[in-house]
Amino acid sequence: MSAEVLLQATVQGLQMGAIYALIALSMTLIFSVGGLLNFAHGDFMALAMYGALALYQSFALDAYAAAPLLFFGFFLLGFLMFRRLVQPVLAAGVLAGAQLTLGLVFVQENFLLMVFGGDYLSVPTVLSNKNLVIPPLTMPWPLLVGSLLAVVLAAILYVVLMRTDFGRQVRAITQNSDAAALMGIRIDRVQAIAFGIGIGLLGLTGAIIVAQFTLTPAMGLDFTLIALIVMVIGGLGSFAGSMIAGAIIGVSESLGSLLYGGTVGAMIPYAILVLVLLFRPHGLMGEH
Amino acid sequence: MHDSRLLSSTTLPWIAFLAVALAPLAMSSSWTNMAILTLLFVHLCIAWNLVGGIAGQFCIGHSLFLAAGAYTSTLLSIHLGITPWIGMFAGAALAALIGVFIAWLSFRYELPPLSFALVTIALAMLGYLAISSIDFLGASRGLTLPVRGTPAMYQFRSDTTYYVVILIQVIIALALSMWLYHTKIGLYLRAVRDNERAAHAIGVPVLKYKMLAMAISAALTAFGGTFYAQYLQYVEPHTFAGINIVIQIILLTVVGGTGTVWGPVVGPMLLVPAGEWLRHSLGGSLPGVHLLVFGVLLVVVIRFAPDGLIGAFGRARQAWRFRRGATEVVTR
Repeated sequence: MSAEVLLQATVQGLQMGAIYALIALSMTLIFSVGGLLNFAHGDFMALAMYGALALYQSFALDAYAAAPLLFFGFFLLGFLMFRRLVQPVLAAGVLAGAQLTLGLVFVQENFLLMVFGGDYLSVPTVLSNKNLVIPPLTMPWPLLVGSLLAVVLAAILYVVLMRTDFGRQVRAITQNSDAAALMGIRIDRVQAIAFGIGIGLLGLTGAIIVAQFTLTPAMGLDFTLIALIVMVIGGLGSFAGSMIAGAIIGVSESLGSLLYGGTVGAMIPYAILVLVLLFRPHGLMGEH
Repeated sequence: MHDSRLLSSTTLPWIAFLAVALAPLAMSSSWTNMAILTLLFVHLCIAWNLVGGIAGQFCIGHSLFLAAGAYTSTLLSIHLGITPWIGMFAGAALAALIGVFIAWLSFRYELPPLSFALVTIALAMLGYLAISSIDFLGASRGLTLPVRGTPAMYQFRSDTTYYVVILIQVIIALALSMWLYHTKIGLYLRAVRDNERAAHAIGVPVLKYKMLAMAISAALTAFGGTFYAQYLQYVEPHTFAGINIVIQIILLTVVGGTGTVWGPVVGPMLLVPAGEWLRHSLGGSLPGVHLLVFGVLLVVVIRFAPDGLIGAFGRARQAWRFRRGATEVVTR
């Protein structure tokens, strides 16, 4: 196998990794403020991708132009859903919360199946089927733009968490929610906004990477699992960790499929997760 | 006083359960398929509840045990001609071994909360991908059992016999779960669930009991897997090793009430027939609409009764008693 093919797969893996990291970061944001393990995470993104499809079909709106719209729509959806549905269940414990999100997987998958049918669908965009050729590399534009935007969005999220009052409140709740409440932070409000931003980010992410994927109603679970893996391997709440873990998973998946076939490629992320949990249970960059 | 309470808390649910469970035997055979599916899920939910409910360890890996039961008995039957009546014990033993191994791997150290769910979901996905790619296991096409048509080979002419088999399995599983719940083992497991550190501090051998719970739960699940494989007469990865069936088991248990004896019985007995009815009446109109309604139903129950129908029932009864007590005081 030539070095060029390996390089090509590595670059593609890194680009996928940036996208995985962004999905994992929105999952981390949701997890860190209330302990909610969101098993419906990828399904929200699938919903956004189908949303981009619907906007294209109805208004001929390009997915990249629809991205801000989907961000605000999904922010509202997340905010309201947290207030009306998630928060009351979360009060009964994080386990009940996780179980609720399993129910949401069921609802969202079948909602998409009902509205859009089970066939494979794709969303045409301005960048679809265009490649950037820098010899020896050939990079699909949708993946390149998607991964670059993912890095930018992750950086913005980092700045928001580190430099704004909202970010400080989120971090305070993550470290000690009782103490944060005593300091006058309105925990339920911060939680709802964080959940809204997390879901909103998924709306945005879905729109900017939709050109790279073929849509099926059941695609969400795969993204959820990848996000869980990246989140855990990186160490909960570590930005650098998530980026590194995303790169590791993206590259190993891409090289694994190239060298050993698709099934082994798909198995590698899970195997890495099991190994990391067994030997470094707090993740690569996690705090003990 | 004590006797009458025992009657109401233990005997009465059994009588109600047997009355409902025996009813399909008197009904027309078109109901039998649904009744079998219902009891199969009751069986699987009881098994999952031992680990996921009573011991409070959120396991998403039960598809591995289901597959162990289904594939072991099927392979033994195809290649060696061993009857699944024996094969099911081999499957259960294999599942119990896997379960103990997973528990040992995951609980050696104190892992961050919910990481057991992640380890098990990862192992379940690995198992699913492995089974779908190994030719000896039929890969994604699956394996079909040879037709032998004799009860000695776990093959029956009428669905009613399958129903009797799964009913007996459920009764055994339920009796076991009830016995476990009230013995030392169940008390230890519940102590681990409620406060693991405190349980450890007072001398509960936490790791040992978690491994024990996994072994029993895995073996029971494998028996369900063998039954399901024999009933369908084929095995394939999506049905027997996919994550979806675990999600269903968990949701049905949650709706009934996790960690209770009767929750995993009530959940599937109400919802599996409801789901089948929805499929019957809505399934033809739009793809997925019956599952959507079903999912919304699940979410609504979890929203308003996070501790399940058993918990909601208990609260309602308490409120009713309280009100009655209050009126008695007033009339006095």
